[in-house]
Amino acid sequence: MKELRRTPFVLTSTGLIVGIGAGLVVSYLLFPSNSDEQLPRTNDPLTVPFDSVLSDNQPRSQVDLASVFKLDAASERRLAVYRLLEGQSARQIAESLRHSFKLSNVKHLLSVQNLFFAVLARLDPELALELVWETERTNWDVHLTVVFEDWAGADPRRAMQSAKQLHEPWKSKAFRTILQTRQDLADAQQLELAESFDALASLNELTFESQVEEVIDEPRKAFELILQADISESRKSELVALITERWIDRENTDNIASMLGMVHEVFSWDQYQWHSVVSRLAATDPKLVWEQLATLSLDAQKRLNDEVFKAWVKQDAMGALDAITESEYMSKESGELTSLYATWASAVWHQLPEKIDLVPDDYRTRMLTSVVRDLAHRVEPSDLLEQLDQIQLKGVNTKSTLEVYFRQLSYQDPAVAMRWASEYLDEGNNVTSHILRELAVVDVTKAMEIALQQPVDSGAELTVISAVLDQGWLQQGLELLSKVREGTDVSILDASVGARLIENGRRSEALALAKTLPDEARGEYYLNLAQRWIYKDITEFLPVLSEIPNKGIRSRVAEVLLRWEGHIGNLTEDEIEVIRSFVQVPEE
Amino acid sequence: MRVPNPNIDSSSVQHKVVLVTIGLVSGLVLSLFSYSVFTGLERPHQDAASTVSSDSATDGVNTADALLERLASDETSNTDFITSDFLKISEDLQTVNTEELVKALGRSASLPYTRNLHPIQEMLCEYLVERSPSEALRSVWLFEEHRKVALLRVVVRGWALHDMEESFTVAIGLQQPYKEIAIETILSELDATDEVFSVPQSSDYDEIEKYRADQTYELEIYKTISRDPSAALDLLLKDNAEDSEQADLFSQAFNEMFQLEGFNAITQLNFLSFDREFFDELLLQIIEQDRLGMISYLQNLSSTKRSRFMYLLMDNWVEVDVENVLPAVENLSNPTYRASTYWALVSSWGRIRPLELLNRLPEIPREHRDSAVFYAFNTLGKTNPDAVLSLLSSLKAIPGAFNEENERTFVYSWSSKFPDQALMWVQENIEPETTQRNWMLSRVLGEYALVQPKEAMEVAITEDPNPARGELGLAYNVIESLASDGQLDTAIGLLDQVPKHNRAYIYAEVAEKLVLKDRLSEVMSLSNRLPAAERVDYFHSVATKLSYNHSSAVLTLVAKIPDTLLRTDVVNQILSDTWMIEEYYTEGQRESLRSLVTE
Repeated sequence: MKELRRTPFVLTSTGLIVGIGAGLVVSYLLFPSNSDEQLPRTNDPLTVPFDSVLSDNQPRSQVDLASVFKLDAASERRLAVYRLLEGQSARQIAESLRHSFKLSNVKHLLSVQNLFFAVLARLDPELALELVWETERTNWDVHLTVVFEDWAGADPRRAMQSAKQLHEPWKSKAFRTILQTRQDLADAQQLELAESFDALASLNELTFESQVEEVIDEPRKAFELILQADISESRKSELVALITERWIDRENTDNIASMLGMVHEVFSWDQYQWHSVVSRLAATDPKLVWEQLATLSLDAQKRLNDEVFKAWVKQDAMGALDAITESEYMSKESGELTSLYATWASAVWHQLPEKIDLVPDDYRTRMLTSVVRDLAHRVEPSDLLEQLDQIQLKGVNTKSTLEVYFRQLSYQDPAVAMRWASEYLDEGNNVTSHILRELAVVDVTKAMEIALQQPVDSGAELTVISAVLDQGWLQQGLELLSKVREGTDVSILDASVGARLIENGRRSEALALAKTLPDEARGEYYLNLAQRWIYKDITEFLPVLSEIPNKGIRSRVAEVLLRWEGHIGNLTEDEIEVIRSFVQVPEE
Repeated sequence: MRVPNPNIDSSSVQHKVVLVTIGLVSGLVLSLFSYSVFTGLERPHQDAASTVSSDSATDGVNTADALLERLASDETSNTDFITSDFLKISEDLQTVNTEELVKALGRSASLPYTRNLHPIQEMLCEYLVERSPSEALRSVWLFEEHRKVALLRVVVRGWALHDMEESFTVAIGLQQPYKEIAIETILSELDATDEVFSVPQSSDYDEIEKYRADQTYELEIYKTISRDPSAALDLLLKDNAEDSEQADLFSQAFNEMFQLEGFNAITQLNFLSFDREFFDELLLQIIEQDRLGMISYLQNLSSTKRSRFMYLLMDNWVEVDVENVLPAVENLSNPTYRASTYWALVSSWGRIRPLELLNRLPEIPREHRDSAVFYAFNTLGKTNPDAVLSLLSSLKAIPGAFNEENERTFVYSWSSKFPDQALMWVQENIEPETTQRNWMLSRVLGEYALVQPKEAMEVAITEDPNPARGELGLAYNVIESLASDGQLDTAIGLLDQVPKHNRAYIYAEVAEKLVLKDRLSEVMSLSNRLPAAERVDYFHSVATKLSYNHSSAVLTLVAKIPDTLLRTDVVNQILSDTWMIEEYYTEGQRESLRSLVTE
């Protein structure tokens, strides 16, 4: 019985073992594994020996990838890549692709990676997109296009949804690629797709570009189209530049005067776009263009000369300067000359002290002001100021230029502006107050520290507190009041503090503040508040008015309010009636 | 000895066979399953992607025609090829001859789009360029724009491999934008391998070098953006290239910086530069990502710095999402900031959607209603004055909405486009001899003078004197407007009609412009048309107007005054204004002025 019971087990086990073996053989024969598929099928260059790109201990698939780079012909590379990737999963492809990101100075790396991205995008576009950002930034654009082009074909809505999540400029690029790829969709479908994902701007741009393409070699039509287009200014600039370059290629500069004339006619006052056209036209031969410009109407000359001159200065600064100093050209349009001199001066900034004499007296100061505005962001303060020192030694009045410069510098870095201004500006200069106000907003402690180092009669600390109150930082302003030095008249801030208190619903404190003031200042305080509120919402001030304890002051404020109202006309009849009720009728 | 039982034996054999079979089948199934589990999991996407047999997808692709037929039918069957399908096609194309390739590529340009079409076009192009680059290039022009660009890259890349020098020559000969695309593609291929750049020293060398330098610089910027976007932005701002021509690089650097530093990124942009539109667009890229964040960020900037950004934010918000901007502003907790933000909001709203703003005026807090009406009137005066006229009475009923200043704003705006209509309305509707009428006429007549100078002067004289008016009278506004507009001869022709009091100042308005036009003899003639007693005031007024920007012209003018006594008086008057002398004159000019004084 025991043997009988054992026999079925032995037989079944034997069958099972044989079956497993047979199954494995059959499976292997019928469905070879992926790793086998990765091996090249033919004796093509994929089997080239392992080279210096990879080290000895790298896996086989990486060696194969290395061999792909050896193939110069694009078609061979494509075949090799397809063979390499055939049957591979997205994860495997991504792994190989990631490996390729570590390579550098490898011939055809970008085009091979692009093929990988194309294959991967077909299997798993999300993963492909994720990998785009792991590549060199230089290649993001190319790979992104490959991924979204394929994705757009498979599932444009999902592609648009993913594109929408990107930040600029990739979002717009992705939208463009999808919409451009799916031009087969009906207009209504494209519109719906764009609208659904806030991509109307990209669709408009594409639609518009196809219109421009039709007239690209008819500059007037093309420019007119661009000026009316609802697309970004930077894209307009690119298109304007393209049209101009083709225009120049076709016509050279033989006909430059009529070209400029047409630009003047078409662009009217839209300088942002015309500067791109004129600078390109001028760059071909600025001297000739300048001469031809003189044959146009004065109006055209005045509008276009800046760009032509700029192009000339870039090529020959002194030649350009001669044109405006020695010839009669534009001499009667002195208003134009300042900006031309400024363009020249910016270009020769490093030699300007030696060359300043070449600029007529009248233009020097205004020219310098314009130049420092232009250079403030590009030149270190110490260098810029040193140049101005040198220029001043040449007898040029640089006072207003310095003021403009420090004002501008205060927007960039008020602490630096303050440091330099204290060296250059006279005590009490209003630019110093301006800088202090800017500094108070970014670093109130430092601003107060500097303010307290100024002479007491400068009231510098009040400037700081005033700036803080103007920001609406009431509590901070109130706290700073305690730092005001003795001898400084804070009454100038009373109305400002009172106004902020009322704005913040702290009416009783505004009234209490009045009580601390000397009798003669109290009326002025309330009048100041009244003046602010007659232009705002008088209903916020009426409760204050009603609570002014001194009837005489209350009556006077009410009277003045009514007088102002006569000029302004902001109040309702009811409000006028309430205010009138506070006016004391003089006793007979 | 046991005798075998035939019944038992046969059933036992059957039993054993069944057991062995069960074992075999189970083993087979088990091993197949296990094998598929261990190897098959690797291919889920492939299975998902291939909804139709890959064999059928590429059947019969031996000639160009067959391929195109396959693609055409694919369009209807909507089959997505998988890698093996592309591999098969690519292998098949190896045997297709040049003529067939040209035909296939050309015909593919007019095929309806499918997902498989573009990779196959690229394959065709690759094969064709290896055999005949010029044929490949010719075929490229058959495609629509974006495909043209993609395939051009394939062609020039292949051509450069075939003959680099020739590829540059071809690229240089292309029209823009293809020239730039082609050259950059060739250069990218070279750059990737660090090959020695050896373009022949032809006339094209400089041009190619320029492209190469641009590309090298661009690469440098890309690297810097990844490492330190702020430094990249700084480089871009300080280089000599036009900022607007580097829009893409700016956008990448700026957005990258925004991801790292938030709205602080905006402080680095040069918002005072000429390319204001360009920087506005950059800023909009981040504003659109987080408008609420932006409004919150701005409250910590000083009011001078803030306003530049605030208007951009509000313009954008009003344009794309006006429903949400109002609650966003209402919810600001700092009342001072809230007030200034409301002001910016109604300014944008009034410019962009003026009628909508007027209709929703009750929703705006009272203290901002007059500003709202101001901006709406300013827009509508030029574009739709009739709408304003029809709304006037209803607006007057809304507290805080209407006041005399707004009425003037409307008239000023109206007169800038339709001065005759605005003038008529003022004359008919505004009470005579009031300040309101005087202010309105001052502006309206200035505009009217530019189109009807004589009639404008007649109205000016009829309206004067007005007790509410200052000393100069409306004739001043007519002359000033003409002089500012450069209509100097017309202005001179009307000067005789100017009322006698204060005419020296009005004459000076014209004379200042004459000096700037180098018409000094006429400046002297005008002086002679004035009584002698008024001439010092006349010249002094001209000198004062010129001093701010043209101090040299003052010296020229004064030197031309023939009467030495008059000249001395004029110079003394000028020198008495010490602030102006110190601010606008050089030491040399001051000396020259003093030398013109006769003791």
